[in-house]
Amino acid sequence: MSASAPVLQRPPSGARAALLRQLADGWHAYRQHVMGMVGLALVVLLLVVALFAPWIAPFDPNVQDLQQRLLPPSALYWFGTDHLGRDVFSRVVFGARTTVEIVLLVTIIVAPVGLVIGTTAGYAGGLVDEVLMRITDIFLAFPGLVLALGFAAALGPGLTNATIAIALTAWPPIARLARAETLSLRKADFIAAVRLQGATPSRIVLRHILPLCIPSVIVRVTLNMAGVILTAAGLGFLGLGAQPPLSEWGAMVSSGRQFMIDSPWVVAAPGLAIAAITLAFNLAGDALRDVLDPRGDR
Amino acid sequence: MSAASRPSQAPADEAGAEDHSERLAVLGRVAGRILSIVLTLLGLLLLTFTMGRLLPADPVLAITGAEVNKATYDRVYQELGLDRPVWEQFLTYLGKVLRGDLGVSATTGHSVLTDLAHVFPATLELAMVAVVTGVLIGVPLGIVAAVNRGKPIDHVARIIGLAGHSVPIFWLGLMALLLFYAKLHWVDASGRLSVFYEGMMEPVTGLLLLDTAMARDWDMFRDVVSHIALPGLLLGYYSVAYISRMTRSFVLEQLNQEYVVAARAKGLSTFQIVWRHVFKNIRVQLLTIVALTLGGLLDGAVLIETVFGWPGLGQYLTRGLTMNDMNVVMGAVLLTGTLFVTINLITDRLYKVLDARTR
Amino acid sequence: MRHIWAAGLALALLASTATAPQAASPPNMLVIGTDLSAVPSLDPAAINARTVSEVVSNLYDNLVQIAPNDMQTIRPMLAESWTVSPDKRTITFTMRKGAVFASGNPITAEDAAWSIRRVIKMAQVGSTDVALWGYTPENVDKFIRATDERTLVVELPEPVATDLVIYSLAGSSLGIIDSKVALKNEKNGDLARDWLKGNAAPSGPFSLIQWRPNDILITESRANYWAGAPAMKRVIMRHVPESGSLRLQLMAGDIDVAQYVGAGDLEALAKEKVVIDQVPGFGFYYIALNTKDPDLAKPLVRRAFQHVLDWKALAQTSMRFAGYPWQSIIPKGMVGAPANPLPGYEYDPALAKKLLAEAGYPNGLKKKLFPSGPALLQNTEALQASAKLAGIELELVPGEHTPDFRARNFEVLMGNSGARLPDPFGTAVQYAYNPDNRDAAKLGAYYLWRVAQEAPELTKMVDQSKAETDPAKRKALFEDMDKRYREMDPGLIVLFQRTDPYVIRANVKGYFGHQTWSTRWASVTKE
Repeated sequence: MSASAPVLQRPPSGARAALLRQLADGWHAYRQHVMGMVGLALVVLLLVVALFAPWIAPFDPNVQDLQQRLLPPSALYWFGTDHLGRDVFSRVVFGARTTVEIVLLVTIIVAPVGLVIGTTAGYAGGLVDEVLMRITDIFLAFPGLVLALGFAAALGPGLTNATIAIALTAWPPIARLARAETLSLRKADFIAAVRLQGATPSRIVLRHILPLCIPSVIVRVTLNMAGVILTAAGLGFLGLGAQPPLSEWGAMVSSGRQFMIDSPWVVAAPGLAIAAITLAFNLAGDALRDVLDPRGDR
Repeated sequence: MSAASRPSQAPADEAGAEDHSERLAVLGRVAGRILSIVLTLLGLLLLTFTMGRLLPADPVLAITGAEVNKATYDRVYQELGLDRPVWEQFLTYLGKVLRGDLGVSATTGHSVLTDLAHVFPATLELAMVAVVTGVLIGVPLGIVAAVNRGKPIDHVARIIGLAGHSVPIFWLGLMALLLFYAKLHWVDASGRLSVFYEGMMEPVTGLLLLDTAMARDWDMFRDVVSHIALPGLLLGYYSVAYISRMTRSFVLEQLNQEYVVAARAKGLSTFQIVWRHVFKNIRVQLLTIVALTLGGLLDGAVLIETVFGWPGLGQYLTRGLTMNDMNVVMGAVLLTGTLFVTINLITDRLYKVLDARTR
Repeated sequence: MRHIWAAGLALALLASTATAPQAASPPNMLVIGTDLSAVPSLDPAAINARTVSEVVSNLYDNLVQIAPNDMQTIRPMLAESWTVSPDKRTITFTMRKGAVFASGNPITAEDAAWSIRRVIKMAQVGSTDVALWGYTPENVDKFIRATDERTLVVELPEPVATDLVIYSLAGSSLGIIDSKVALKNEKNGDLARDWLKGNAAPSGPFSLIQWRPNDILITESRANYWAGAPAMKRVIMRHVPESGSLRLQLMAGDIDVAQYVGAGDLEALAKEKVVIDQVPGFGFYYIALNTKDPDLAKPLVRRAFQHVLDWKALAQTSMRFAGYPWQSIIPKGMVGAPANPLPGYEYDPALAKKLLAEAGYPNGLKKKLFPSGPALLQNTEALQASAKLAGIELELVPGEHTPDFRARNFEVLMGNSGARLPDPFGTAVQYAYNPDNRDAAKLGAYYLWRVAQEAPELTKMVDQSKAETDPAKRKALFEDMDKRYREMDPGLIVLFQRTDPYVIRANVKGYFGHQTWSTRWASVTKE
């Protein structure tokens, strides 16, 4: 999102208490940020909807009724029905679940991969660093969607494969960040102390450096989430994401566009859902950046 | 978007070039730089090659077509070297790419290189219009936001920018088509030109705005504008968030400088300060941002081209993907990657050169 | 920087003042909005798909033609007349006098012989029909030859009903090419294969001006065409992949004829002042079950699949303009077509469940489902939902799967077929013919081979029908074939006969969608 996400400023000794205090301060600052709070609220709403989808949705999202197709929004069908007579509202609700799955899965893949590669490169330096960073650069040498498209097609259909494809495009910035963090930590006193005690490099990286990188990585992943959601929707729109009948917002827009002129609700509802949640992540990310950026204007 | 997330790729200049071997060191750095570019490009090729091999398409059928007898199949299989080890196949691929041979598309029957030469100008033109739009909206928006930092107008500017980066562009495109084409008839849709103009003019640059303007065919020019307006503006809006945010932070940085305080003391208005001084100081940075945006727009182009039937690189790639046209996918992805690397490289250089001059 | 500002400002101004310019295409120009993807070649010998057949039929004339409104009568075209020898093994064509190619070269019997031989020698999809008559690259020079400037002799290597042979010569792949021009562009004895991919040496009423794959095809009428220059000076085919956009452009008058309009848009267009010409095609919509799969190899399982699609609901919705319910392999109106085309593939999930239980699957079944291409996606979605009620779990994999189908690399697939022979033999050979069931045989042209189902009896009957000329016997033969086909619980469950909807603006006259896809533009006029 930004040209250079700021590295978290923190005291060299990674004391837990200091960290907690820092988090509390951060939260305090964040709360002042109106737009950020709006974004956060929307993100929470997404999580709630995803978690309780079966209870919120009035209909089974996959049950078709061709007699009831393309009905406009009504008291019964809040967002109308689609071309196969499925309730659009229920599908949007279950689509939230798909979105959250993608977001979580990407995080689970990207954060550890980026962390391990970044910290290893940063700590080892030399040839290892050169090789790992070269690989990172190569992955960065593609626009995200194009690379994800290629991999999604290569890996075959399905949500999991699409998510992996997205993850493949999302780890490099994380790795770079982790490397930068590691470089600043490598020469720290407490690391030197651990090294003198005879800890192996892998132990130092895993036990002492990596944990300290986690907070800034989490922040960075959050900042990228809007992009991840848009890429996922784009894949779905191009038919390379979720498989039918799974509700996925991008795919819903795609399959609905044939009926868009006469039944705009089929496309409007999922499109607005993507827009809202992406905006929410963008707002939250923006606020987060303001809070964390030492040059910030607040 | 991903262009944006990329930090500048300047090599980590290890300080301390010793005096007696300074020239050597410079040479070494240049060599290292070239090596690093070559390695990146090599990696790019490796990545596309892997992608191509993973695609569920039969490279033999891509050449022969589906109706093929066993003898022909086996012959082509051998000719393609598919019976040889993978690394050897990669070397073959490498050799072919270096000779400009990207293979033949199974769906168009043309060589992929010819196809790319046709579709690329379309995307380039779209991206240019988009960048101009992005700058025209994004820069003023960023300046206004910076000058009014913290005030409601700052928030509004932020929302305007972020919305462009949040609304899925394929959806926005569909909605815009519905409104401006179907309902209001303000613009034309689908393609770059109305059908009756097709074949009326030999392309010179392939950029229709330029070609028609040079030929002084203003009717046709208007037709081109009427086609490119909607996709171009939408794609441009997509980049507004990034441009405006960066502009805002650049301007803010400048506004804290001493010279601004001095200028203010001299009684200059904020507008004058921004226009005369700040703008001059941030233009190099802005240029960098604009170049990076151009790369990032390739992403949006993939989607917007599908929606608007724009016969460009993005549509070419997505069709290749849905049709399992392996050579097309590999060629298009390779071109995109190379463009991206080139843009970043030029930006990097440009930044260094211009920056050095302004300092 | 300032220049960019100025240029951008000018552009923005222009954009804001630009309104949709002169809508409606000019009166002497026909604009067809269609799908031009997957047209890798304009070479008659290398094509068999719908859109490109239409293109080729206007670039190249055939020896004979079949009028769109009368599929049974063969009419002269580049051949003025023809005679059949008493032993029915030789057809002699007399070429039209004075007809010339676009190049000005006279159209001779030698050109005709060269063009037909070329199709056989290239052995690509275009040869599917004529190769059935026993021609091979080795023997074709002997059997098809020009005896003088205007006399073409077509001998039959084996006994075949001569009507069938003449029908096949009217197919778009058998267009007559300017052999002198083509041979000038030949490379390494490739029979101008490379050149004809993107160029044309026309004998037909239009010549090729421009061809950009996936984008546009422009043709211009020929002043020196033997039947006189067509009314349309230009005919343009434009690639418009989005159905909604197609519809809007049609309504705006930018497009005169729209092909491949989506079901939803067709429904809306049906209420407008346009003509929707639903042209019945010689092909069907089917569910294909690969019998190489051990579960689908069981007849009872296949029978269960006959009852899992709610085709009546589809007939009202996605299939409303794309076909009509039809469960026979003999198309409507053809000799041998059944009086009752709906013999009982009723939608009945309970029955399907029972059949599955009998077959040994009381807990249902799990299979992968492919649409043959994106156009079939909606039907597969419907099948997925209705099959679930019968206990069949179908994992739907969207995408382009025709190559998988041809390679027998699928489990369950939904698709549609088309044939260019206006005779039941054309569909019978696709659905009931499998002379060699081995994988290595690679008989992808025969659908029964694709589902790996052996049917020696039926195969023999299809071969018989090829040579049979007695109308009564033919009728009995096709009726029997149809019955036996249904009784074997076929791997291809036929549910609809296809219709190809052409949406035509009211002011366009004389555009008739052709059942064998040889729609000709020479008769088109605009009011």
